[in-house]
Amino acid sequence: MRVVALVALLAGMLQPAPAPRLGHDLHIGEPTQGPVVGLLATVTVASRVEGDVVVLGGDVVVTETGAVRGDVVAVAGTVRVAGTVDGRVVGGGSRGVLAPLAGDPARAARSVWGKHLLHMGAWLMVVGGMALLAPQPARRGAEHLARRPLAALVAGGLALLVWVAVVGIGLLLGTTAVGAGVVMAATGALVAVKVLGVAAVAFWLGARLLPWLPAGLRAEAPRAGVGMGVVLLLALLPVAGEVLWLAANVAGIGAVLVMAVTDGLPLAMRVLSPTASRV
Amino acid sequence: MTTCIEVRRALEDGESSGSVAVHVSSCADCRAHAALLTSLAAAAPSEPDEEAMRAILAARPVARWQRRQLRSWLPLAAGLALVGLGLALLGGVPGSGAVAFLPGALGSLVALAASAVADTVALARGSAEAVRALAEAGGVWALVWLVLVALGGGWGVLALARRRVGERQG
Repeated sequence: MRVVALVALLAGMLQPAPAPRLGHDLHIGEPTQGPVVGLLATVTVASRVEGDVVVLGGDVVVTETGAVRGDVVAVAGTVRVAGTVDGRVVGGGSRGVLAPLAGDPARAARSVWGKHLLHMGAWLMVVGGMALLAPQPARRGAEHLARRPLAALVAGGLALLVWVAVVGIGLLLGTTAVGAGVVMAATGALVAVKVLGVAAVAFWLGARLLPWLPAGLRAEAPRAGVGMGVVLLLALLPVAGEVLWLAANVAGIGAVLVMAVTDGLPLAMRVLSPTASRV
Repeated sequence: MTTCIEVRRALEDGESSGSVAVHVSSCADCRAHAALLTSLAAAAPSEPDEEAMRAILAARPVARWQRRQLRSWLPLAAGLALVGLGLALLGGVPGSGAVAFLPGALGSLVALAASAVADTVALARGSAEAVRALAEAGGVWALVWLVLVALGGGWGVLALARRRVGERQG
């Protein structure tokens, strides 16, 4: 298949995939060699694509005349298929929503659970790794969360509001270097704070569950893993799960930000030099 | 109360009646004993600083013996197993043709980054659409509004954190 596609490409029957550009919608109107990649944009497939179509932060529309000989993936976006897709069709957010939107029900169910397990496994690995390598920031975040959970929740909500405003300003600045830099820096910062915040929630919940845990799971790393597992399992609940996951994220983000402001020294320095704490 | 022993016991019990004071003023040895007791009282440990204790506990590193315990690796192992199982159910990484372009994309790290970034990008996308609508409707005022929201929200977070500092210092 690949050889045929290559020959077709060389013979001029297939157009090369357009270069992905941030925020620029793509329209595939002629047979094209995949993969076609879009970034914060909508990709419309109105012809044949030999390969995958992947969009980060955008939608994929396969029109009636469109045909994709590969997978169609829209991370944090949706997929609408009126034409044909040979491979998997997945779209949605990260938390178990990256599910097939077409295909047989059994395959759909397998994929939904596959995404759930992937999501759970990734978070367990993060919390487990953090507990073994550098648990100090998560411990402090958990402490702030335990003392003033409501304040953490409010601070997290406000921080997200600020983030939305900052990203909005970046997007208003358009595709300039400053605008792109603002958006990328804000996104990177939010991802980092979110990861640490969710870990802090896991540490906090693990500590709360301590009296009910068997002796073998009472050490910091296993109990943090149990805490993360409980959060992830609760997040699977229909409707309420989404709310709980969002609350855990917001509270975690708030706790990390309050910690960063109150503890003074940069977090990285605290990890490298534990004796440099205020005591 | 006449003997030095009785006076010293009274001093150790914290008694300071008139007869004790009279004896101490006239007895150099008992005066020295009283001074010693005062010094010891000053050297007594103060109330434990709970904040300092928490900070010390939070800053402690992971001991090597903890890393050697099998159960410490349980979350990591469980996570790895779930990632493997999830990928098996998904039939591999969807759109791997494009993923192959990503430098240094490694198994679980990609899964985590994708997971966190997806949520963030979804939020950015929603924000972008809202901002576009605002910009079309309000032009420069939309920018002013966003700046005000950013400043106000930032002030709110700082106010909450400073309140925490105030409580700690108080």
